[in-house]
Amino acid sequence: MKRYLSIILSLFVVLSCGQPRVLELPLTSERKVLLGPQEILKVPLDSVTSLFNSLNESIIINGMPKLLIFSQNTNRLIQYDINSGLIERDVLFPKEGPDALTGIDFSSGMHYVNSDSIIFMSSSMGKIFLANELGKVYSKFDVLNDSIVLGSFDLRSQLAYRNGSLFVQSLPKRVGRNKSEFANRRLTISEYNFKDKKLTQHPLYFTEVYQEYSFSQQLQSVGFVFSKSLDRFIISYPLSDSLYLTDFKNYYESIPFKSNLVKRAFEQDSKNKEIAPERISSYYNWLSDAYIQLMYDESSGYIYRVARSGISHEQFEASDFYTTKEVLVMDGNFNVKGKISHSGSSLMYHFFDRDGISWNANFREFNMSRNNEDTLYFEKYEIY
Amino acid sequence: MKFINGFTAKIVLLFIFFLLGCGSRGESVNQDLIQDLKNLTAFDSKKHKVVLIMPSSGCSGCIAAVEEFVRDNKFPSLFLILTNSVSQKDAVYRLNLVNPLCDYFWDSNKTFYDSKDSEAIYPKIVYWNDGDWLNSRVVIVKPENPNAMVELWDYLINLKF
Repeated sequence: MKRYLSIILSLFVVLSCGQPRVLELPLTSERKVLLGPQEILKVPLDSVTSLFNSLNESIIINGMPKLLIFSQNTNRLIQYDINSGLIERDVLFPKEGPDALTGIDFSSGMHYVNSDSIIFMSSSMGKIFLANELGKVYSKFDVLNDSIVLGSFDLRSQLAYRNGSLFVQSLPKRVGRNKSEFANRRLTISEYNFKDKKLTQHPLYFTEVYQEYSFSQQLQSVGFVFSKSLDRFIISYPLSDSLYLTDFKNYYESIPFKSNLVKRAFEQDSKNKEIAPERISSYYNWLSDAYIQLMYDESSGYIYRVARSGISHEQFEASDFYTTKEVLVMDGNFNVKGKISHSGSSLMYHFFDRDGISWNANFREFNMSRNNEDTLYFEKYEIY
Repeated sequence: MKFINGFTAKIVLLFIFFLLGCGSRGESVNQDLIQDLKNLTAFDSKKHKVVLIMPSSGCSGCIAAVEEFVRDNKFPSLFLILTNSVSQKDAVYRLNLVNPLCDYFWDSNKTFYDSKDSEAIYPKIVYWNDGDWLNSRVVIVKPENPNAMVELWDYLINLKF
C-alpha cells in the first residue's frame, strides 16, 4: 500500500512540475474608505483630438496646475489650464522633417521637465527626443541596442528625470536571442545620461517574485516616479504589496502599501490552446489581480497607488475589461490615509491641484453612452 | 463480427457528426451575419453591393491592410461596418470618414462581432447577392487568404466601369 502511495505521490509531483503556478498574497486589515468625488470637472477637446491620449501629464507652471496632452492622432501637444479648462497652448509637430516625433506609438513616453525640455521617447524606434514648448525638436538620441528595449510593456512608459539623466524601465530583447541569455534576468531601470550619452542599467534586486515566477510581460511593467524632495525614486511593482524607495545606488527601503484587491496572480501558461498565442500575455495579465499605476504629487508628497482585481475568462472573451478598482492614498510621511473606490474604467488621465487629485470619470458612463467624445470629464477628490 | 460492425458504424457516425459539426459552426455564423445585415436599416441592398466588416482589434496585419484599403478606396457601392471598436471618433479620423463617399455603420452594440467565433479577429467581406441573399458570399481577410483585398478591388472597380 505504501509503495502504491509513494508511486502516486511521485507521479503527482512529476506531473505538477512545470505547471503554471498561482501567486497568493496575504490579506491585511481593511482600509478606511475616503469620500467619493466632490465635483465633476470638464475639459473640452476639439473635433479631431482623441478621447484616449495615453501620453499626458499633470504639471505645475508658475504655481498653477496644468494638464499636458500629446495627441497621437494629430501630432499635437496641447496644454490645458486646469482652473479655466481652456487650452493655453496648442503646438503641431510635423510628421516629417527635423521637428518630427517619429515612432511615438505603443510603449512610448513623455515627460515635462520645463518649458524648454520636454522629453519624448519612442520605444519601437529606440529614440529619445528633446523638444521645447514651441514644437522644436532640438536634440535626438539613438538608444537602439542589441540587448535591451527601452520602455515597459504598456500603452505608455513612465519616464523620470534626475540631474541630466532620463530613467525608464527596460526589457531584454527576445527576438533572435537564446533564452538562456536572460533566463535569470531581473527587472531593470535604464538610465540614459544626456551629456555623455551613456546608457546604464540598474537591476532591481528587491523583486524576487519576478525571478521565482514567470508572469506575463504586462505584469512586469513597473510604475515609478522621482521625488525631488526625497531625492529618491518611488517604485511600485504590479505584484508586490510594498512600495520601494531607492536611489539606484546603495539605498532602498520598502514601505508596505497593500490593497486587499490584490490577492492572486497567475503565471503565464503559453501552452494554453484556448487562447490565441498573440493574446496569451494579455490574458494572464487580465486574469490576475495587480497594482497597475502609481501617481505622485510632488507639492504635497502624497502617493496614490491603483489596485485592480482580475477579470474572468468569460469577461476576457467578451472584451469586457471593466474590473473592481481602488486607489490607495498615502501622505508625505508614508502614513496610509485610506482608499477611494474607483468606477473600474480605464484611469488614463489625472492631475493634482491644491485640494487633492482629479482623474478621468468613467468613459463608458460619461462619454460612450452619451455619444460624446469631445469632452474629458474629471472626478475631483479633495484629499488635503 | 456483429460487435465490430456495430462499433465501426458508431465510429463512422461519430466521424460524420464531427465533420458536420465543424462545417455547420462556420456556416451558421455566416448565416447569422447575413441575416443581421438584411435586418440592418442602414444597409441598402440596392446600393451596397459589398460589405466590409472591420473589427478594430484582432489580427493587426489583416486589419491594417483593410484600413489602408479603406483610406484609399471609398466606392459608393461599398458599405463599412466598424465593430468591436471603442472610439468612433478615432476610427472616423483614422479611416478618413469625415465626409465619406461610402456609407458606414458604427456597430456600438457589437451585433457584427461574435466573440465566440474564432474568426471574429479577422475583417470579413460580404459579397451581397440581392437575388438570393442567403447565398451571399463571405470572405475572411486572413493570412491564408492573401488575395482577398485584390479580389475586392477588382470587384468594386468592375462595378464602376
